[in-house]
Amino acid sequence: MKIDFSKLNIKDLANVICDILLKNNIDVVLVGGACVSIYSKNKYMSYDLDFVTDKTLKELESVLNTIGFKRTGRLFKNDKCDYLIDFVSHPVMIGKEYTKDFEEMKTKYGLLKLLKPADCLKDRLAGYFYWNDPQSLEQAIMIYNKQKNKINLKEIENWSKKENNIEKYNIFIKKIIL
Amino acid sequence: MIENLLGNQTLEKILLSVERYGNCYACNISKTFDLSLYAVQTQLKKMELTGVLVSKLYGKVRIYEFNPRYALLKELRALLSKTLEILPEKEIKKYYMNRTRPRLQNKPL
Repeated sequence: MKIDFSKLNIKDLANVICDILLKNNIDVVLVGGACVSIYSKNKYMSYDLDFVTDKTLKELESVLNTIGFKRTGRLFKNDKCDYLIDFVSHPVMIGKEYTKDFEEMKTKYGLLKLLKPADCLKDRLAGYFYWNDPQSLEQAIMIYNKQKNKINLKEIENWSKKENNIEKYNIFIKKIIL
Repeated sequence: MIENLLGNQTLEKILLSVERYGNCYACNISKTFDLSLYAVQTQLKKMELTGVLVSKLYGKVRIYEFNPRYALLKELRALLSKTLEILPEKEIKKYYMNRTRPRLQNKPL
């Protein structure tokens, strides 16, 4: 399939990248702001795609070059699209928790592996818990508002307790009720 | 919004920033709000002397945060938190929504 990278949205691009890497036996999972864009239905816009992998940049480079993504340092860029691709170190951590359980989406571009909505929300809450980041809190609220039916607040509450941040979880709850 | 109560605008911005981000340093406050560095440093020292804030030196930067032993800390933070809730949205977006989570060196925004 001929792909016009200038017309792809963040979800489709993530899908293209993930699918080609998986087909080349490179296991990757989309994390970070791109997941927030997907789950918040673009209420939050990210311009970089962070994937977790245990492979080397050299291994990734040989595959990504075939679809026009060139490497500069750790980042990959295609001249025809605005997004940057980054690879962060393995494993996938949500706060202090390690996860192996991911969401899988199938589209016309193939398979996309990414954080589950609840883990994506926890990941943003962790940014708020540990770095007092107001943007992370705002993004957590955006995810919740668009994914309510897939998020169990009791589970988020228990996780927040384990992260020793129940007070900040309560601030999050106050904001989603408002 | 509470500048008259606190006595001046610089102090209001310092305390609201510490409430929002957990800490602050003079140069950052001065740049963010376009205030004179001297005025910011003066207020920070005053707050440290009165026991509202405490400071620690990280390299060459002095970081200020709330003094957990300040007797009126809970009440002061409640006032600041409420103020942040009712500030105009434009002001919140401009001054109190800065990214504080880490970002890898040299990664463009």
